[in-house]
Amino acid sequence: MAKKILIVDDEPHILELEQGILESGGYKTILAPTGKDALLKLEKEIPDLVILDMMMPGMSGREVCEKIRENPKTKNLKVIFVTVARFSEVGKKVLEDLNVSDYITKPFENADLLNRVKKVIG
Amino acid sequence: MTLSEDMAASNIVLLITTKTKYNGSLNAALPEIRKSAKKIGYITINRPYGSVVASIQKLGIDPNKFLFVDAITATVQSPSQVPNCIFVSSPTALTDLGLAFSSLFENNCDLVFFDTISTLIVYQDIGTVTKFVHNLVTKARVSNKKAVFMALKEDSENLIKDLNMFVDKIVEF
Repeated sequence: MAKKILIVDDEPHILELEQGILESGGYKTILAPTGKDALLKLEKEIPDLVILDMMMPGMSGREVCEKIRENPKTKNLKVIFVTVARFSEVGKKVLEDLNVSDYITKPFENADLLNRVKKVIG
Repeated sequence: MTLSEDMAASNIVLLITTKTKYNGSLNAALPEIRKSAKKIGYITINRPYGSVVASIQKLGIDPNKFLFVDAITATVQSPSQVPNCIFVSSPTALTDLGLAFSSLFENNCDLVFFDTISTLIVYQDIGTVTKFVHNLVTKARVSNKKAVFMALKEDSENLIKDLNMFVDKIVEF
């Protein structure tokens, strides 16, 4: 059975791009344009992985990830951050504390995204 | 470690204080910032240029070592042009603020002090402010210059947590 990935990004073209790449790799996708929407979707179904944009209006990726970790149903969910940011050493420590599996910097190569996802969920 | 030692070791510093400690923190931080750079860019978005210059002089610091960006005066009056200050129309004019930030480095500032970044959430959502600050941080890194962003805890804990992700050092002052 295909593994399911929740993609969260406020930019519609990035959502579509990531959806195309991941579905071509045999994954099923669920899309959420905001952090709030992502949390609502997680109440209905738990995917194998969440790909989370770091900088979104409203609720940031970090904040969404904190909520995921606070919820007993989702606390062990695998998370990959997608970001334009260059994380500092302080930032990398925050990612560790949030138990983030990996992060990808925009712009990324299609193969890079697929390889990182495969490493995390197979 | 003193703030100037922190700034010597780190290019991008987030200086966190509280509303009640703001004036005291600023008075303590400015001499340290002055020690850390030959020429300083000072961006103010909540106090007019004249008031900032007066408080710098009170601390015995030469304001001629500073180049200012004032994004608040023009919201209430037409500013008189002065040689060491760039006036930006409002704190909502992020593109202009970003250009002014770059011009401080182009005008030989080694360090830019942003007073106070968290005020921006009065005008913009946290996501927009985070993206804007990240853009400024990138400009500073590319220019190999230093930047110090002051933030007030009460304005937004979430903004501070997000900014923590890409600064080199967080100092509670």
